[in-house]
Amino acid sequence: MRRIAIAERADWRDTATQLGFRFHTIDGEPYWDERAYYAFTLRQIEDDLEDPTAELHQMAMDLVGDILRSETLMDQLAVPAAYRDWIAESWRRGEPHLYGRMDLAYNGDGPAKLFELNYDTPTSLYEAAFFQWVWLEQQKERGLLPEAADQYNLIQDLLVETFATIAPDLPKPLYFSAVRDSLEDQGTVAYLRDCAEQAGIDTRSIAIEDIGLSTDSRFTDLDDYVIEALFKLYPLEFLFAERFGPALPRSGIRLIEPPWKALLSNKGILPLLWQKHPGHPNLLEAHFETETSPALAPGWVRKPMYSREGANVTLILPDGSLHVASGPYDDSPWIRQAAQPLPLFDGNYAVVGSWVVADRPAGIGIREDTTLITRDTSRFVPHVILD
Amino acid sequence: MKRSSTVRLLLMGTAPVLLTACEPQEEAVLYKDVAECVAGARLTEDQCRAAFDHAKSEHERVAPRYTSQNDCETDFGSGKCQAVNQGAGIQFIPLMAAYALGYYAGRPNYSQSQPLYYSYTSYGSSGGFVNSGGQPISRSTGAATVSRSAMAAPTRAVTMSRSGFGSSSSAKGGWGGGRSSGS
Repeated sequence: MRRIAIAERADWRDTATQLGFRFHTIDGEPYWDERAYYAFTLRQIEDDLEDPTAELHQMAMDLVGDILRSETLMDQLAVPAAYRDWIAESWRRGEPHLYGRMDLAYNGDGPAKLFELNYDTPTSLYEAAFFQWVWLEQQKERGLLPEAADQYNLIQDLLVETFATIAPDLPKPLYFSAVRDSLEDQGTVAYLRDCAEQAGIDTRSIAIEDIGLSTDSRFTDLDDYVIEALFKLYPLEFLFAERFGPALPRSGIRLIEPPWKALLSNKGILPLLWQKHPGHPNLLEAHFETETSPALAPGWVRKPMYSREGANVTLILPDGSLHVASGPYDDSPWIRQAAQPLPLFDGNYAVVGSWVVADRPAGIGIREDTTLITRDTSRFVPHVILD
Repeated sequence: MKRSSTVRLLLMGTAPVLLTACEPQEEAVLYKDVAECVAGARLTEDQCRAAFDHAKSEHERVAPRYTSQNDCETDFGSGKCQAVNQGAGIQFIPLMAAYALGYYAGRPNYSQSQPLYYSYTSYGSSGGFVNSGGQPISRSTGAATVSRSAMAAPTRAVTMSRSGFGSSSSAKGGWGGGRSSGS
């Protein structure tokens, strides 16, 4: 795994515009960054990232049943009581899930370590699945990358295939929804909707804020048609906590990601994984924080059970240095995880986002930040496989 | 290959697009007309004319088709479309803007030349030549490197509506660039 400087495509912004990539620059700061790329060997990809991703995913899926059978575990994960039956029912019925991203600390050598599972509302999908792919092809065409350069990226193939697989069981049409004013979220759902259309699914789009609730507890679109199937790029725990939440279990709506995904997108899964597989080479030691937990010691990280984009994370390195990311997620319980500093490449901390589509490892995207805690200000940097 | 061999967008881009992982490339050469071909001095005048005549004879059969003149002109420019009626009612096709021929075993394949069209929507902000399937070939006339499939004889014409180059007509291979090199 090496970080290599490369010339930007002079026309990449035009290309982005043409291909619907509207959030490559966020608040004037670069988000898509192709001034460098990461090069992996095929062995690194297959042995160190792809195989562990499959194994970690299976370990996480195996925990769902354990959690649903235990009120104690549901309590520990702070799953709201009103939704537990509905969550369990969605699992019992085998409601399919679509995708997830696990964030891994990996420096090219030794086992990748699982930071967390983003199994409910993962983003950076379009840039990993599509724009990164286009970048590779164009840089090869232009002679800046060798003909043999490949990429670990089957994401779009698997998304389209998965949509086609789950479509027959879903009510039609399938609505795609995100927060209206988030360019990034809107771009991500536009891409997923595109993949669904490619699979022959009839789709609609609606902003989360525009979803209505009928007198008989059905969710409706702006024309009062009942929404029976909804892809929502919006955290399940937010839906649970908001005004329409109580209507969810009796509305009959089918969600993607399904309700049971709330268990895996919860950082409480990290201590549960460690309890079941202590010492696993791809896991970091993790525990639930309790009232009797000692003060955070050097070499440990404190994360809220429900949070996004690195918010509210506190990290104390073994040398005692303190790193804090502020944020709004301070109202849920906490977990603690052994600190694993991200590898540093040319002054950038890189985290590997390893995608899982349905139950298969699908590809990676790399984000860089100038701080140890990867935030929503991180930059997406493309990768190649080159032996 | 550990990546998708094709990726596509139906709705999200400014036009539908299908991209195919890099294919074998071959040399091709583009000429606006017979005079430019002769001036290029790669072919004899007879070869230049034979290649032009073949492309011209294919043009009406294979050109991209539109049901609306306006849609056609959006892609190919004002006054750059003609009406044809081949039994499917009035349709609009772009004017032939150039012709291209590839090389086979190092020799110009002038009897399998093909018509090209000057598109304003397939190259981002500026224009460039596309083949009858909508695949970008090169931004300018002269020598170019293109994917092998782009120079294969077109097998069918596709009826198109707005924004051209729909899902069944593809923009493969030499995507987005006149200056393709290597593969």
